[in-house]
Amino acid sequence: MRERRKMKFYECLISVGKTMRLIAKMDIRNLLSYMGNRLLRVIQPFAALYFTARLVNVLVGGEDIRKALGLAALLIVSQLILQLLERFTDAVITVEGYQLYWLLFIEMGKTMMRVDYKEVEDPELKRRMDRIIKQENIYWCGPWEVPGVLMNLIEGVTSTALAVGMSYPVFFGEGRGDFLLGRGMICLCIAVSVAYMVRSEKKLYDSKEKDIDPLIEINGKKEFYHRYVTPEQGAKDIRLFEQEGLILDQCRKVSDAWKEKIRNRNRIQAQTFGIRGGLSWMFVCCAYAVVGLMAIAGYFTVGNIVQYVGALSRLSEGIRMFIYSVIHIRIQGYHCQEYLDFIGKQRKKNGGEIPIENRKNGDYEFEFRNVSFRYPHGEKNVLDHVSFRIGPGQKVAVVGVNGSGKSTMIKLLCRLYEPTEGEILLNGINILEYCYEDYISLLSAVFQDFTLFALAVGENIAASSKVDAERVWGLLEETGAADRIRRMPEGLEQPLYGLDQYGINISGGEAQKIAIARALYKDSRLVIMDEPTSALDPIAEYEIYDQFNHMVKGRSAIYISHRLSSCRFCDKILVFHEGGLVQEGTHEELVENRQGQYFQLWNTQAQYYQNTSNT
Amino acid sequence: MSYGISKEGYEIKKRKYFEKLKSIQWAFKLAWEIDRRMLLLWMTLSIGVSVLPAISLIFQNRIVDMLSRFLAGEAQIAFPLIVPQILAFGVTMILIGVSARVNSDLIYMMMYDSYYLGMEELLMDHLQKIEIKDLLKRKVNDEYNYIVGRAGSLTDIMSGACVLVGKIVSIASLLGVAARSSGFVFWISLLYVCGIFWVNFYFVEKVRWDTSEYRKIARASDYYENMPVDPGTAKEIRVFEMADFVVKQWKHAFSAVKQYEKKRDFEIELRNLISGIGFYLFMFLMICVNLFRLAQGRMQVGVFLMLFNLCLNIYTAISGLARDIMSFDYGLFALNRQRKFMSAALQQRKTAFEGAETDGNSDSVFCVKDMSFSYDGTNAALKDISFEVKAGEIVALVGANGSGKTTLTKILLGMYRPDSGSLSLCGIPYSAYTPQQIREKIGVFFQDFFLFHATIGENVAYGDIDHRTEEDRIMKALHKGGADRVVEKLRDGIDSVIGRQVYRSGVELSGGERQRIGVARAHMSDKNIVIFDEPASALDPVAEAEQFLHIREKMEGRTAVLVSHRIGFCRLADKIIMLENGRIAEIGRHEELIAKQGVYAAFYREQAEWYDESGEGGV
Repeated sequence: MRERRKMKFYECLISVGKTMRLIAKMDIRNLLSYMGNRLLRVIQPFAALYFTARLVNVLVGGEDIRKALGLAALLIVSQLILQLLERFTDAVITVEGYQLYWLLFIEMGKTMMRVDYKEVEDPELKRRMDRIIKQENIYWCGPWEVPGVLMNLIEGVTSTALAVGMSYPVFFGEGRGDFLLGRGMICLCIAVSVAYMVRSEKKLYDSKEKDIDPLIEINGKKEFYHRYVTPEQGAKDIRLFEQEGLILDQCRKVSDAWKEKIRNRNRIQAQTFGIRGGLSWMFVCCAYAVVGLMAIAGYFTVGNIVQYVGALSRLSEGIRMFIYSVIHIRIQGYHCQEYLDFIGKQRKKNGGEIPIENRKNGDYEFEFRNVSFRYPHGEKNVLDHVSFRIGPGQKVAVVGVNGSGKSTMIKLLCRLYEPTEGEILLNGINILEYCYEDYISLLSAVFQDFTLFALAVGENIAASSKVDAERVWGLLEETGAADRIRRMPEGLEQPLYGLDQYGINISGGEAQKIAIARALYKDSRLVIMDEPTSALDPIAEYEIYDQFNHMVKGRSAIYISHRLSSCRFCDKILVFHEGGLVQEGTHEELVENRQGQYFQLWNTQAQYYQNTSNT
Repeated sequence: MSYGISKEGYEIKKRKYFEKLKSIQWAFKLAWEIDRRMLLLWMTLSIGVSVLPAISLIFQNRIVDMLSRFLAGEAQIAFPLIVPQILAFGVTMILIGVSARVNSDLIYMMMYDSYYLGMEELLMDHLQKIEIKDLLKRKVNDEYNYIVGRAGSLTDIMSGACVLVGKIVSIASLLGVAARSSGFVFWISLLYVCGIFWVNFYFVEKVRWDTSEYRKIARASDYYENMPVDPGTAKEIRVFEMADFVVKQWKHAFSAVKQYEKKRDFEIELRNLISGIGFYLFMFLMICVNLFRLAQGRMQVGVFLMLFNLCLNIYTAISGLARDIMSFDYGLFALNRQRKFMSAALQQRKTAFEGAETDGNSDSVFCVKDMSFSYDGTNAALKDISFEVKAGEIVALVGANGSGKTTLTKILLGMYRPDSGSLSLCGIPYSAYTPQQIREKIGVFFQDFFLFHATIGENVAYGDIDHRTEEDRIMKALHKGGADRVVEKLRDGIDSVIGRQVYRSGVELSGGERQRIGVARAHMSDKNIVIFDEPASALDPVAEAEQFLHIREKMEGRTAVLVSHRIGFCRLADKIIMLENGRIAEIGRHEELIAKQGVYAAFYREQAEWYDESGEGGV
């Protein structure tokens, strides 16, 4: 189980305060309505008590009926107005509350987009984010609770103050000496009730704490099994391989574990609520008794009974609310700090601030100098002392068997990871020293596992909301996807994928063509393509190869593919094997070396197309 | 000549009520079956607790009466009389205090285990019975996702029902007490209560939280929530500098959700406003009239206070009524849809005959005549397909993207039923087989195969689930699929879990590695008929060649259907079927089709051109 750092109370207060400031910056209306709402909620019962007490006095004292009517009217009207205002602020809070939820969420999303890529691949960061969200959804712990918690504090304080004000005579009025036992009893009742509340809150919280991690894990498994059986994922395979029995078994096991935890939680909660309810009613009885007797003894009028008993019960409520909110500040303080730590994460600055001059004539040269790389938890080098150059406007093909380090090399070039040894240079300077945004603007890529977004086709290709339609159509023609897009009802505006009712699904091959168009649309100096035609049929693939030089124009390009036929249109070929660069040259040069890796790869594919010997 | 509601509107409403009643009946039946103790316990408790306020009022009345008579100097306090009353009153109040926690939240929590989980099991059980083709339709898929997400419907209904019944009993008992003291109060209270119920039922549809409506709108914001954390999109976002764009779209998406919620909240507030005003009018009326009576001496103070308290108690019973009706309605709405979905799906499933005798003597393995199929009923994916595959033949299925190759393989596996034409396996029509029997005969590897978040061993073993404990069989299959090197590199070998969604010590595999394991799964079973759909698209040339060698070995003497873009491998086949736009363009051997100079020849030429060395690189 994760250990939790013990935070001192003032540390909790500070982190809650910082979160409050963050929220105030985002959405001040929410906070103001919260405050208004709580104050109204506090005042309302006291106003009712005040008027009711006067009303009862008038009635019992047999005074003028008109006065009674007047008081009754005041009572009702004041309640009505207070209620209406409270309702109105309630509504504002609910709607603004949703907004707050998302705004805080978006801050976390922004962090994920900002940090180093290796943190995104490492599931730890995502897990932290999931934790923060789950803790809010399952336990109501997190920055989202801060407005509520602080308002509870205000409510508690105000309530207690008003209650003391309205029941003052019971303790400090005349006849102080008498009825000490009675008054003592009331104080005792309040103290016992509050102490019990504190203890039960703490006990509840502790049991929740113990359960947070196991519950989140079980919940994760539950969700996982739910998604396991949906069509997009495994439904076909489940039927094919008849896994239904196995899966249901697993699900039952998970449900049983979940039931166990919930049952525990329920039991504790039920106990606590029952006792608390009983305690508070015993207190009310006691208060009625004492005050009643004092009234009989002539200290108070009947109307006062109503007021004082009402105020006394509010007093214990008020003290409870105050203590409750203090406990919760302590609880939330920890979670707020977790959240603040998360959104405070920045991309590691490498001291790289050099801007890149814009060389319109494409005079950019990339170089790998003795680069080695190992993944953070990897055991051996994925790249081993690799050195090569890509000159301005050069088209380079990269080939090699699976796992030889080709895709990793791309990731290093895109500054998604940093080499563990050696350097990557751009025009002679280490790429890490350049300003990140400037450097990235030089590259564009089609990754092997690329994704298109659920946006309009045009927006996908332009990667922004500003779409140069002419340019997009031109690229679509070149990649061969234009006809398909023209057939779509909304053309470039057509949203892809099923996000809204007009989104449509496209095949893998069509997606690849759009991804290629996207890489070419960006005004980059180096185009990287990693298996961009794996899902295309031979004719479409041929068209891409044929047009490649024309599409890429004067830019440098790296082309990774298993289809060795792609090597024919490149200026030079890099052959990778087990993390190292083993051969370099043009196709004609490499194919001469019959012992070389390249020849082996080439021949294995080519043999099926040779007409010399028939199978 | 319509007086407000037309006849059709009336019919529709009547039917809707009838459906709802059926669903309520079904809900109680389910609850009874799943856990009757829970139902009985809470229903009784609810009712028992609900009569307490009325009882307390009776005692209160007596006490106040005695006290006021004493205060007015009319009578002495008779302690033996008053003390038991006070005690009884105290006990009742304590019971009320304790039982105040027996509210809808508590009952919901208590019923959660049995009813929520019981419902989940029922729904997931049902999923297996749905045809895959239907599941892929957007509407069916959406509806299914909705009903599975609302497994809490039964809990909502039952807990709502218990609380509502309790409230009704409570109000009835209070009205009973009122009737004894003042007819006027009784009638006005009755009117008020009926008014509140009517307002709630009027608004119930407008304030209903329709998860599926919400889902549709919220899909976009869900999508953007997941985007930054997915490593795939994370690369794109960085390289194409899309961070700001994504944030903008995201904010745009949730403002749509906000609008939806605002509208609903408005209806809720309107309803609450009407109820609130109703209450104050009610109270005002009560107080005024009774004050008059008091002033005229027609009523005692004690009775007045009791009636005042009674009104407050009625209000307490009524407040929260909105929430309980909403919760009940929420559950009923979902349960209604669940019931309809489950009964509709069952009707569609055609029952197979008892089973076909497998006829091993038949020479023909696949025999297809004039078969047509479409996914959505309008665009045909396959048109007038006719061909025959004999035992021991190796058939290559070729065609451009979207020409229907994968669809055809899925039909041959019995996963989809063709819309027209005839289809038989080993001489017996497909309709005579159960799906299980078909799958027992055919081994398969799919292009869009799925690796489960389980160990490598398990993933491979699924290919022949009955033999999943035979490790040497798994190892042999891994070798044939070319995946043994993948397993050797891993620390936990075949016990390594694929993926890291739940198990943190899992491994992430590359595209090529995953494909090899998928193919290994197909090699696990030793079926006589095998289908391979693009088994090597993610592999490098050397691995690709090995893959095909293994397949060719395995296909010795067996019937195989091979789908691939690598035309070169078609030369291994006895027969090539070329699909174009869902129709068969050409059938024949490689040499025949090359000589024909048709579509196939063009395809072949495109690929071969790049390898043409005019004599270089021969075998």
